[in-house]
Amino acid sequence: MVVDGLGKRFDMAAPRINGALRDVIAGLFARLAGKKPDLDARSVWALRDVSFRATAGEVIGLVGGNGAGKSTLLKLLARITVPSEGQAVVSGRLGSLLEVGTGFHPDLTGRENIYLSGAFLGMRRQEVRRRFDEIVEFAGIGKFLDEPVKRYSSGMYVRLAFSVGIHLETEVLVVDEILAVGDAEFQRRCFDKVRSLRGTGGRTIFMVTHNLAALRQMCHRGLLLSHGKLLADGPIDQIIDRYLAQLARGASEDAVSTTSFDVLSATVTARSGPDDVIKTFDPVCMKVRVRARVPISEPGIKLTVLGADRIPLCAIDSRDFLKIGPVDSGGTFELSADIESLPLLPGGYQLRLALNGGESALDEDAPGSFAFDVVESAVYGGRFIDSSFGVFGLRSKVAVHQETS
Amino acid sequence: MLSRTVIRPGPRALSLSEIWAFRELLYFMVWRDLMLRYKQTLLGVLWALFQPTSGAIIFALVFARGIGPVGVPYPLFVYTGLLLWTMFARAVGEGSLSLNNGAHLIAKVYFPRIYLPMAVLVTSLVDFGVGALFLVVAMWFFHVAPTVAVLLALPAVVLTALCALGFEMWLSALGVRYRDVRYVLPFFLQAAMFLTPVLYPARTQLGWMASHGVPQWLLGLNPMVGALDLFRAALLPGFDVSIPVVATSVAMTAFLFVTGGWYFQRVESTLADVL
Repeated sequence: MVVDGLGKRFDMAAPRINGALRDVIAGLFARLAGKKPDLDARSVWALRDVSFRATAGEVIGLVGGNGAGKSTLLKLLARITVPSEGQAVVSGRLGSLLEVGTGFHPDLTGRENIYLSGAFLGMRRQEVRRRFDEIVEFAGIGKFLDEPVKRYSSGMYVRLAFSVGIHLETEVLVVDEILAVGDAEFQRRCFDKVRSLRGTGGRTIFMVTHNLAALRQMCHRGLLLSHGKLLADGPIDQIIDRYLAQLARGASEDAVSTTSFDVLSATVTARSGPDDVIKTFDPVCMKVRVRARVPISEPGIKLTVLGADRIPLCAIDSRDFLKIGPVDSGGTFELSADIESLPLLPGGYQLRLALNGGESALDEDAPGSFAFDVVESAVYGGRFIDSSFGVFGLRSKVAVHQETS
Repeated sequence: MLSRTVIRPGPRALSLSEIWAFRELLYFMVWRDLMLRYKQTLLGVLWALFQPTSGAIIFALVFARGIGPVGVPYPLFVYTGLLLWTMFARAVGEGSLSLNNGAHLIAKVYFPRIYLPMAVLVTSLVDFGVGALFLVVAMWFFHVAPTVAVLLALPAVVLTALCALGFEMWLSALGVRYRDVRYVLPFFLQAAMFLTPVLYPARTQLGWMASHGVPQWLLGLNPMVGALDLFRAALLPGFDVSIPVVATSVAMTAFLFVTGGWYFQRVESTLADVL
């Protein structure tokens, strides 16, 4: 696969999505009245000047924040949309699913859906039949094979969908859902399966997931995208580290903004001793100052502590504790949460903020995160501990009662 | 299988080989639609009969006297018309919304989009087949024996199918941009049924045209007039083919089909962006 200068532009001024004839007529009158539609000013490059080569058998992870262009790149490679410039040449058949379970119909049985999915990928019945047993076996749906998939548990549904996706000839695979719903045992089998496809020739698989730890396990190469540009291409570990460094830099900026709120500050401080030194089991205070950019009737703030690879460890949501009154546009408030004892073991952590607003669909994550460190200390009284102890400390009383032999 | 796919800007070139490569998708889409109808409804496949037969009974009760003798029992006459018209109307009605209804698929997986309207057409052809079996029963009941002219039914059905697909390609592609299609279509189809000689013989219009010096072929500009003309000549005694009408209808259908295909292909590659 050779990708050369691929780019995709979206024209905001083009006739509105699903517009009505009325709008077009209105537009005609506007033009007659001498108003020229302003085309260039409102076009947005979702992806620009992306070039790379990939050989069959590579498993490539796409890394980047929201709006970085990951899904646009996948859609272009999957031929779901057409590029605005550049080109990509793919040898071999190109079949692609952007989401496992595409084409599944809830009223059809598992068996029927397997064949239907195959047809959507351009496969013949014999080809599907050859893989059929493997698919069923891998999904572990056993006697539910001839039941409509609407009766499946969400875990079973996703298992079948992923199994179809990985066994049929799909080049592009998005694995977010499987990692969210599948159980640990099934996830492990997915990792093994993807790794077994690595380097065996045949297909190039692209993966996107917010679970960076999973990407490290499944991929060997990563592409870092930011604002539609390809920033880096290399071994997955390097790419993810670079992405994390980029996120941390973003966090050090003074104010972070989304469309509905600005985060003026977010801090985690110790309540005893010097306040910038946080030790395991210390009482701490998390403080956030937020300014609303739109009126919000019932704001709620969720604070999530993220560990390595941005895995959420624990969270609190203000709405479970109190009600914040309506806030006007420009209104500022500070939320503080006293935590009796911070159970985190020494290491680097990040605080992620999300604002929710009662009535509307307002639900936004602030970009980047606010980093804080838990310093090395004698957690259990004695020696220093390492990463083999995990991320959480356990306040414990340990006793022994020795029985004489 | 070694092939090369080039992804580049601009509308995709029409690739018949690709459409052929995906042919089983058509089979599965039709099979899915029929299977779902069969699974979810009590009467299942009998619903294919419901629309033309109930229509034939109602129209026979209401219109038979007003329209006067048509040469064969009116219920049989109107059933032949409704059978072909229902196939056309169902294909156009549902097919024109097929791209909108398939938006989730279009956004997530690549396949030749033409299969969405095409599957609707084939499903309505299957319904037509079931209805045609009932037609045999009705002809036996009314003691109308088919002649060798019955062979004309095949071109009639082909003409209807191509005409329906032509409309589907135009309207489904337009319907992605303009929601108006969804709202206007049912009205348009209903009006079209009354303007097309479905419930009454084409003779009524042709006779009027002859007496006013209007050339007959003009009636064929409505492509379904030619298709119905062929279909009735195939099945009912005393009905002849009007060559100028049918020829015009064939030309109109070809025009619709070619321009529809052109417009559909132009829009096809941008579908995922606008849906």
